[in-house]
Amino acid sequence: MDEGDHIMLIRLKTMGLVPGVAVRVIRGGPRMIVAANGVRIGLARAVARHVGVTRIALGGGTP
Amino acid sequence: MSGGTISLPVMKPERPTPPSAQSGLPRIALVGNPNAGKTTLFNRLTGLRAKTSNFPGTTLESRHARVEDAAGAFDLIDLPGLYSAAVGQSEERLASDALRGKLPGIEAPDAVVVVVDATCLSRHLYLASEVREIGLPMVVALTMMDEARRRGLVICLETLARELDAPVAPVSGRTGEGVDALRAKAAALVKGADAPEVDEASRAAGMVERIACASCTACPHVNRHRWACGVGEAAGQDLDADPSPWQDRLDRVLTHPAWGSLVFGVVMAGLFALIFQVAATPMDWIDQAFASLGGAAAGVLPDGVLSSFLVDGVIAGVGGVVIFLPQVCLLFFVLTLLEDTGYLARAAFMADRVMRKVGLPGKAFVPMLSAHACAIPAIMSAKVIESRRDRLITILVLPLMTCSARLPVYSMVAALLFADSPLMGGLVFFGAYMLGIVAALGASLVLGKTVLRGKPQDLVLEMPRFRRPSLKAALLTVYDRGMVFLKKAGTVILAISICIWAATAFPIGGAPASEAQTRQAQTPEAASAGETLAEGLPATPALTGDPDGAPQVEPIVLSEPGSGETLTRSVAGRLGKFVEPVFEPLGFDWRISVGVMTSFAAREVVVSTLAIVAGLEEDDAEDPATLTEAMAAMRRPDGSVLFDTATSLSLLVFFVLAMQCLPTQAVTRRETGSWGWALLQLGYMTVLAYTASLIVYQCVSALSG
Repeated sequence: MDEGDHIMLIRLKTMGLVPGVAVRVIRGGPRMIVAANGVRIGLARAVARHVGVTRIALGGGTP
Repeated sequence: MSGGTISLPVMKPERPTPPSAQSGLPRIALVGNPNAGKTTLFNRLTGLRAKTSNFPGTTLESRHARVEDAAGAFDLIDLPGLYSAAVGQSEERLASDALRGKLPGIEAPDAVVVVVDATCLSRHLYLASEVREIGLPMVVALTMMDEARRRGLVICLETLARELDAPVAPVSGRTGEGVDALRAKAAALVKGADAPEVDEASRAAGMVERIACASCTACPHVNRHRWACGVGEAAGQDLDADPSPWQDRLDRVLTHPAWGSLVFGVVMAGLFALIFQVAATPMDWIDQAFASLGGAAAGVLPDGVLSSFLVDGVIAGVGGVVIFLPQVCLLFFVLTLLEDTGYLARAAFMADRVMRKVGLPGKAFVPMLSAHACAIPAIMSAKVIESRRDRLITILVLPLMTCSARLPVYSMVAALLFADSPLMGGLVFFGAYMLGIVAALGASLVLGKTVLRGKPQDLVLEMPRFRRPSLKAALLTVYDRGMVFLKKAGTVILAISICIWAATAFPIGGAPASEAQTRQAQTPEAASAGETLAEGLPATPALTGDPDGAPQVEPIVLSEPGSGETLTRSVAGRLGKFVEPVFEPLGFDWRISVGVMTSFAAREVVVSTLAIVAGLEEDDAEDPATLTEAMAAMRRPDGSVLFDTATSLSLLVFFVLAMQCLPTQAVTRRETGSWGWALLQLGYMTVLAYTASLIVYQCVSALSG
């Protein structure tokens, strides 16, 4: 991971993409829009690929 | 983690922070996330008193203003937006260092106003917690309160103040609500307050709680976010609230590959139509005002060097800059409104798709859009691009976008080629704009595969909520940016204009007049009346006396500075003759070469230079019709038309692609920190312009037989 990737990772965390938060996908595709902690973030799929998620039902449990 | 009292560890300031040495007033820094409404709030707090300068030894632009309140006065410093005071690059890092007093020659501020968006509390509390840890006295400005109320959010200010251990002032930058109270709280803060101190036991307790509530103890960001969410929830923010379905729908439309592209195209077309249609009228007013001023000055002052200096150097130089002010102001007005609504981030998101293909990030879109008014503020705004490679490529290609200063050249060439066809003239403009954009994208591709190899940074962009923009905030921004444009570009271009005037006006000396002029000069009545004896060429009669007592006039003419005769013999004229062989393959004779040389520092100068060369008075040069007619009548030594189709197109292409702007070079050097990048920019653009012009001239000449 180079300095740019490291800074991007930290940037995502400071924007609210941290372990444990619920993430909502507003737009998929090569460029995605996700919402987490009340913030919308546009991010490339190449970045999103490094963010591990678990699908949950709208009520909060696993589907 | 939620619930209970949360203590943040607070460090004592390393050293006392005395009031500003310059003004004697205490200094308060305004900090906040991008899109938190910080700039709008700054404008509300300071009105039109803000001054823009750079932090010493850096390229970090800082706006500051004296703020008066019954509780006392202070200097308010608007720091660039930052997500975190602990990490970041470029502007964000410098802002963080300024806050900590780590910038050389600048002390830490005496207090901080932290801007927190009430509609997104937990997200903005992250930075507030970091600022809190720096240990400076702090007041929290809770912005967007009008929108929070509209959305039914109820925030417990007491809880928030207790959790943050700082006073909280609810405000709305858009409506001005609560701004007076915030001003008073900030003034009171520096009047008697000191940094809150936390003893070792409390600090330890705070740390224990943070660690105990975190599942991921190795990551401070996770801990801080959990703390921020806890405080947000305790203050009343419901993180599970309905996330505005219409915002989701709008996002899906505006970022849709088809619909989003359509909206993007309509918005951009509307933006340019607005700028060039609406700005035309005030530009005409300014043009006429400066022409009148020049005429008045010329009428009052006797002909000579002083008159020429003031009229051709100072007034024409200032007018040459100020005339573009309406376009710059309109562009920033529309950009501010688009940014306020949240659309600009969506436009950058859409542009990322195309721009990545040529090695640029989507974030370069906004500077590239700004460059259509002027490359200088555009280069300065490239700071938002975090990757150094991406930032450098963007800066290097920005001057290829068509700026306002190129418009006089486009107008001139369009009139030369299609004087009777506005539609074809419009196509010349469109083609020139497209050539600039395509050249910028092509240059990015080449630079990204040669001197700045690598991939553009992947898109990570905050998409702010859609909001109703504030007209007042936009007008204040326009005022601020307009003043910056006038001060930074105007002064430099004025100095350059004076230098060019001197190069075209000197040396002044006696020279044999042309035959026609001599015949006119020998008219005693005219000479004795002190009239100008030849168009554009004043005569100074030399009285030799004669037996009849009638004055005799020597056939010698002293040229006036700015006249065609003087230009021929001037430093610039001689230079034009000297470099003529270089530009001949492009179809440029020595007269056009003079224009190319004199416009090296500011491209719009080529129009007035060609006007002088065409033997026109300076005032006539302001009238495009007169200028076009005179230029269309210019001939080569073999009698052929100088500005034929091939030469006109060659000149157009040259000025679309050539650097020809010294202030931009100076800003490139400042923003990149090296003359090397500025010289590379000058070099590649000059080679590109020359080569493209050469190809156009030779091909069109061959095709037209």
